[in-house]
Amino acid sequence: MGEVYVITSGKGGVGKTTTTANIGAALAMEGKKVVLLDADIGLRNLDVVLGLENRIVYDLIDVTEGTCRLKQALVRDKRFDGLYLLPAAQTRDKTAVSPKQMQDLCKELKEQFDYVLIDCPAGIEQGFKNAVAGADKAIVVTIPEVSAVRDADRIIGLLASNDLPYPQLIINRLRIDMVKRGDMMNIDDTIDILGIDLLGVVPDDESIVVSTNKGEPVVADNDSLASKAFRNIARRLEGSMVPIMDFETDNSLVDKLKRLFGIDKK
Amino acid sequence: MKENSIFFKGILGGLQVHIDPHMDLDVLKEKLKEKLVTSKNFFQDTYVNLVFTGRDFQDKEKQDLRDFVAQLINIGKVDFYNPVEKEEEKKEKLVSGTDEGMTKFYKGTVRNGQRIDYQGNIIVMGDVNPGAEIVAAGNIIVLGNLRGMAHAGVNGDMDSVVIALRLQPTQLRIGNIITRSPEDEVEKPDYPEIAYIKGDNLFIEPYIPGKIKY
Repeated sequence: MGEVYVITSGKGGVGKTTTTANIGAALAMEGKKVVLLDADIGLRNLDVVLGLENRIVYDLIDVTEGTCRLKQALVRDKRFDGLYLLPAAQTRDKTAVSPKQMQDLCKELKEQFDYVLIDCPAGIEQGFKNAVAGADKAIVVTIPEVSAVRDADRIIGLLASNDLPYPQLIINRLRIDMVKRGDMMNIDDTIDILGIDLLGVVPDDESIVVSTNKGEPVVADNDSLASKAFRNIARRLEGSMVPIMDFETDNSLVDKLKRLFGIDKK
Repeated sequence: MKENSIFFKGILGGLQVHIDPHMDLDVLKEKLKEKLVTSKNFFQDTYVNLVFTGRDFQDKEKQDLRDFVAQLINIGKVDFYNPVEKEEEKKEKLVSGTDEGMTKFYKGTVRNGQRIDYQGNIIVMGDVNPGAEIVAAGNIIVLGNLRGMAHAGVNGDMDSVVIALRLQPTQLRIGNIITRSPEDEVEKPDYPEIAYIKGDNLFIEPYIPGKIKY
């Protein structure tokens, strides 16, 4: 019996879909059987990020309406064994499915998979309610900006009233250089407000933009920091105690020497 | 005035009879008889629950009135009360002054979009985040960070205070006075503070135990 995670944020554009795709791919790399469920009906993106757009035949609504069997709608990933996508319908809207149907669907999926990751749409309306209905656990994605953290706070409150009281936090797109200059909210500021457990920190990385546009998860073949961060998150979900990468102190030899001689500008 | 000295109103499961408090009992009976007899067909064969409101009745008067109505129509349950007075009494019970009264304890973080509203004092054992609202008839105490909006003394009690371990509200209201935190970056104190009203102004001071002058 697998576990159902919903990946949510409240605010749009903070990287829910990218996070879902990369954690899913990283878990599949660890040998797990994973299905990614796109709950953003009418505005689906997960298939594009994974590069599976042209392989979709049936979608989530076809399954809930009984047009096809669940197995027929699952799209197998082209790179990772054990990674599957259940795409959202693009020509319908959020009202085409009910929370009850999502619960039934999640129950069926977690019998066959180790992980069910639900990509939640932005907002707090019907789409959000559908996405959280079948979830066992929640992951909140935010970026270190005041408005995103506000929305994350709102979402954490709503998750609690939907029987998901202990979500885990991913801080995405952290600009290391800006944090060092003190121009951006740092990790501690963010956790201080939200007060939930930190699952991971993903640094802002150009390679994400490139890989997303190409339709392949960044974890696939990349040595970038973001790729490493996503693989660490996957290992934490698996129960390993992987420390959070330290972005905020300088660790190059030059910096260490500078500190030794007391000429660090801080 | 005379016309409205007694009136009927349909309520859930019965009939409310509102009475002018200054009316003499005998006049009242006369009026009541008039009204009930004219609508006797309406009440036919049913048991009518009655609630008398608008004035205080003594026990003897209550019995008298009950017997009187029973002669005219089939009555069910008969009650007497003064709803206006009851409500006021209830409010007073929750908070009397700011030293005593009912207190709501909230354990946990009050998040963006959540609101705690209470006709008494409120104590939050946790943080109050931006976008959250705490509204109390009495005092508000936050054992954590207060970053949202707090309104103490919402019914106009200017003696209410707001205390927080870290007082950094987006907006602070006591009674009918509304204040906001300064726009420019000021050093955020890392000690508990208290907000109170003196004259027409809201003051914020370090909270020092025992040094009570508010």
